[in-house]
Amino acid sequence: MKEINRRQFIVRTAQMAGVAACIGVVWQTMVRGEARAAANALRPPGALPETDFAAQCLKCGQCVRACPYGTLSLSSFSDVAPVGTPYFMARNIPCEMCVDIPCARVCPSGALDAKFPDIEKARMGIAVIDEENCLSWLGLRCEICHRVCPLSNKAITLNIVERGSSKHAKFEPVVHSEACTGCGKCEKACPTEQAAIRVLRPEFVKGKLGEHYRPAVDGHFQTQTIQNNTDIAPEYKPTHKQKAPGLEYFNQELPEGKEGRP
Amino acid sequence: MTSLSRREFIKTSIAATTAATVGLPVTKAALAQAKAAEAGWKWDKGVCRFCGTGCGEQIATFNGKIVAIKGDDDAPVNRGLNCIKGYFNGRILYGEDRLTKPLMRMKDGKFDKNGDFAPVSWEQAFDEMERQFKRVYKEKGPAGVAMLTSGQSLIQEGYVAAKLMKAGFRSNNIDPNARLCMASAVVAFIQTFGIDEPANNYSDIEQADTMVLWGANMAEAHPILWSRVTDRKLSNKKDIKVINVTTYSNMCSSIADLEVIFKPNTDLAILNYINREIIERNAVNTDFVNKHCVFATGPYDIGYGMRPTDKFAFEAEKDTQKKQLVNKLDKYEAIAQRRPDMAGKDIEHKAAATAGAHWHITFDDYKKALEPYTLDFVAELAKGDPDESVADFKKKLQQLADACITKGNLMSFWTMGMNQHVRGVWVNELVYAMHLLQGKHGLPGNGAFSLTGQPSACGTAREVGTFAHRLPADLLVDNAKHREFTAKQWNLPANTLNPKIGTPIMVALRGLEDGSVNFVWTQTVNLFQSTPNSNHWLKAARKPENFLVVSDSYPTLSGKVADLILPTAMIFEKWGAYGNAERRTQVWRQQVEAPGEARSDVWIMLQFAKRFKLKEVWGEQPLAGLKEDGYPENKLPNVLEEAKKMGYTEDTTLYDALFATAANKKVAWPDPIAKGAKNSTVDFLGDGWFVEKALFEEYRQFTVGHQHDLAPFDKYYDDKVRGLCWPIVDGKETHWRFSEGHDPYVKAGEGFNFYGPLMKAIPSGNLDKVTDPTPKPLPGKAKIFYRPYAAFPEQPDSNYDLLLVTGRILEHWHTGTMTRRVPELHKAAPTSVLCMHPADAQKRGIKHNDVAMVESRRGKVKMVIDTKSSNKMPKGSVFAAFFDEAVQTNQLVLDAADPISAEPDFKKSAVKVTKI
Amino acid sequence: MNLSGILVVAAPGRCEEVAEALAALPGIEVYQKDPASGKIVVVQEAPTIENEADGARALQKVPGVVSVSMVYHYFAEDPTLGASSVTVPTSH
Repeated sequence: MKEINRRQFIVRTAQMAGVAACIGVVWQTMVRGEARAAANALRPPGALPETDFAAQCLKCGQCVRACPYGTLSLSSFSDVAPVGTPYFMARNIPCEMCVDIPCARVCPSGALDAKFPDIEKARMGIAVIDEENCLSWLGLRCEICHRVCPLSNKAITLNIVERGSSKHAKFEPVVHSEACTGCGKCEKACPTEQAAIRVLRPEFVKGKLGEHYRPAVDGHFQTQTIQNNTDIAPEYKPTHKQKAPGLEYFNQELPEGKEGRP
Repeated sequence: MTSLSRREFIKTSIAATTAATVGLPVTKAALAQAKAAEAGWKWDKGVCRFCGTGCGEQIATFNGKIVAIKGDDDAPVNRGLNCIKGYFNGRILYGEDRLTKPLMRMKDGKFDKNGDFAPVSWEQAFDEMERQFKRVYKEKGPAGVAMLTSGQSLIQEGYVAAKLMKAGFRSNNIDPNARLCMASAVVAFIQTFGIDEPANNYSDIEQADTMVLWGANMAEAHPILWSRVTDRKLSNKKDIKVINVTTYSNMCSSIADLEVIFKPNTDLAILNYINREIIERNAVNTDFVNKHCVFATGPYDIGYGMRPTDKFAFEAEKDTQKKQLVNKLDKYEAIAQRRPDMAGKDIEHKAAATAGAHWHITFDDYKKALEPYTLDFVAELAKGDPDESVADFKKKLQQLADACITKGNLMSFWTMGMNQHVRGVWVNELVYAMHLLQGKHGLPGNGAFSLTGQPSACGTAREVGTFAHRLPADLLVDNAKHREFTAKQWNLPANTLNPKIGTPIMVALRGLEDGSVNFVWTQTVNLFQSTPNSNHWLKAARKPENFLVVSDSYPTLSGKVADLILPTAMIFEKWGAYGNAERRTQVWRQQVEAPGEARSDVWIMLQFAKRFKLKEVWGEQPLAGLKEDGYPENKLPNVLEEAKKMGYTEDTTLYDALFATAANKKVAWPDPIAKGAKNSTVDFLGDGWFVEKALFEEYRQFTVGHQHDLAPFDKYYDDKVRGLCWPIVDGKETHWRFSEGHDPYVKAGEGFNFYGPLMKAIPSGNLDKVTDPTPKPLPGKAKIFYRPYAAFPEQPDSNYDLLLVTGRILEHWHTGTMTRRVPELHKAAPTSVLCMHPADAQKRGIKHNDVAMVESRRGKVKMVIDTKSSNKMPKGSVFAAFFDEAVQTNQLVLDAADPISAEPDFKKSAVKVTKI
Repeated sequence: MNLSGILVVAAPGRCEEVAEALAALPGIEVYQKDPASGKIVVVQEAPTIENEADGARALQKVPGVVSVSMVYHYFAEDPTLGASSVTVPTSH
């Protein structure tokens, strides 16, 4: 627990510094009129509908501090949501769906429902699958979104389709908006370069399903999937040069399990 | 080529491929252009690096890098499909922290056990390794050194390792991690059929009517096979039945017609109930059984494969440890073993050393043994979900029996639930009994099929024989005839080979702790993370008298406690071959070069072999405990004189004597089958012989005519071939063994012939003991075993109140050495979590996603609790994967093992979980 | 550079008409058509995956198109760049 506490401490300190820095600009932008939040800027659980939320929110940052996972941020000047309002991006840190909903509990303004009863009723967003780029829809055995979904088999189910000629069934993930909370764990975990499953705020999905609809993939062809190897996510860059790869690692103490060694 | 024209070429190629794929005719001009585009990209066939399914892949290289991977449309195993691990096969080569230089613990320019790791030259590395090896070898002889390898080692690597250890160093202390994964299946195959490996193949999935999973989470561990099972199920919903027999609800249950959740180890009782029902319902195929089977049993009180002493145990372990010698019989065991008056009494495990012995019994004895396994008894004993009623469970058992006793085609599949089992051999044998009683084995759509977890557990560990008791092609070290045949193949003086079975993995690791083994070399395996009770070995490796060499491609926990780390080439950086679970041998060419100074394991072993002269190893060697006809007591004899007669000198190196033989040197590199591919092993060795081909051909001589026949090396490289299933006789593969019309070793008119030659003469007796020790032969027959229900040793109690199961998940492979280097896979499953029933969590004040302390008698770790996983645990059980180094799940696990197979049971350790 | 091999199936009898309309779209080249089955093979070139998805949507909207299926996908600017760069965190 020590490490996690320490991480939380650092995150919180940084967040509070951010809040303090924002205060000066908050007033200016507020009087300047409404900005609009991007479709993938998700609000905390129990939030009012977007237009009311932006108006009601006091920009106090209490929900951000209450979040134990560092999921929430307060938007800054040129961010994806109106300045000072809380939001999260699923691809960065998704919502862990705490049963006691600490973020909503501390909201003093009513922008978040402090008495929101059940985290599984939250509708922060709805996951949408780009079937054309979804590995499972292309016929691979991936289904990572289904596995990480906290409401697996309710919010995301697998539609299992036989493909007689190939002898292999296809496992197509399907999102059910009536159960999807929009927590974003699926988008976070999606292994494609750009997530093939994305969580958007409900108003961006509802009534527009037609636009995302894709005709069924032609059943007659064999999917050929090419995994290109020429590009790897930049976030894994090593920090400093070593004399030989692995050296620093090997010269560290045994990892944490050690303390438990009898 | 300008970038514009290159782009046009690629586009044409894409169009042509697309058209061809969707079945449109492609013009010659388009094809020609497509070919021109592929002048840059070279596609070649390969095999997936991961599980035992053995999916075919196509690999594209360009400018010395692998740039693309796709499922191979022509591969019969996967027909172009890939799972998520297969999809990222190319990326595993390119992690930033690939090891590129030998690293050794150094101080003041010299090796120092307590020094920090520093890069050294290969020369320095081999110098120190040689010095340390010779120190231990002089002091303790062949028993003091060990090589621990892998079911992921290539066929050629396994062959070099086995020959170097067994013929060169005269040590049988070589064992693969397949010991942790397949050993129980192996012993059951050999005891039942006299020969190793499955009789069936994957196409049986498309022909089965009922498919039963016994302790196999196929949906996650064998995703491609699972999609075939699913397709079969969906193609005919009413008639095809899929049944998931498991200790917790997993993803396989999603399409299952029936899910049976049982209490760990009671699968023994459930199978005996079904076998009893087969007899009750008159469903025995008497003609088949009379002609092709005999009945057998063995001793019951065989212990749990732990150390017989608690001298090395942690204080908290001592109570469990004591059970190795004596344990109380519980009331169910007492009834099941027909000694009800012994319930609650201490039983001495007198047969621990002779656990594998077995003898003939009569059918009447067999029937009598099954009597206690009534529906009522088994239902009460085996029900695994406390929330289910006995009445409901009883109904399920009946449905299970109805499905398994069938006129239709029946397939059973299993993996680690039945192999990593303190009675793994027994439970494997009971499934065979179920199939044999009904005559449903080795036929299309009918068979008991043990799936493998590793890509070459079959091809390398089992077929080449990198186990402590084996020689190539199912030959055994403790069989004089087998040693004689092997010596002839290898051109060795008589009695060079060591007749004493060596150390299985767990015994070798315990050896580091008790001082019997001081030099350990691991290859392609991360045992200090993957083995149970690992805290013992992590400490032992650092004892000053021990020297640990770790060959690997990436940093691992094992490397951290090593003294020398050797950087190795990975799969497509060398020529190689794998063998999958359906006896399919598949090959690939070297596609790219390994980074930096990383070298193939074959090169490393051959270089090491150059440092030994015959006089250092083939003189007299101490071997405590050796008593064997033709050998002096406690010694391996000096064979140098005879070696000289055979043309060797005292100064011949092991490299020249065993590997660079005159015959092998004739197999020249370059070879036309390379089609321009490189061979770095040959280049760095600088001797001009085609090492991989010569050694494969040499190994093949063991298989031909011995029911293991492999095809010539070149045949596998034929462009049209996508692996071949052995035995290959007259150029024809064998897809079903033992049955007439399918297996060339079965003669016309025989119907079946279980021709496996091992353990084919056994004594006779009754259910309790041998009454006539004269071995009675059973040529061509399979054995139907009776094996009783027995409980596992570490039952949950008031302190350690939960049962821990450990295993694999879809995204990660074993200890994550490769898959955790793929950012996409790492992101999908960054850490190992503890799956738990929500009520168990609540009782401990723990919420989903909380970090909690998980503690056993052997260690404690922090883990994130997951109450919402697709692994739905019944109350009282928890599951964790073992890929995460930060968690080191398996340190918690008890190192109890099946006493016959020496395979540890990773599925039954008592733990407690507390809030922090 | 993103290149995709796409199978477009046209409604019966409308193969020629659809192929013409497809060819007029930016970044699309028609490589092959089979009036009997209505199958048309096109190659799409798009600077990013997003553009590519938009493009695929545009194909779907062409009158007479029954289905659009991506068959072959190539996305490399320069395959010589090679790949690398992963270190894995080993503690929480």
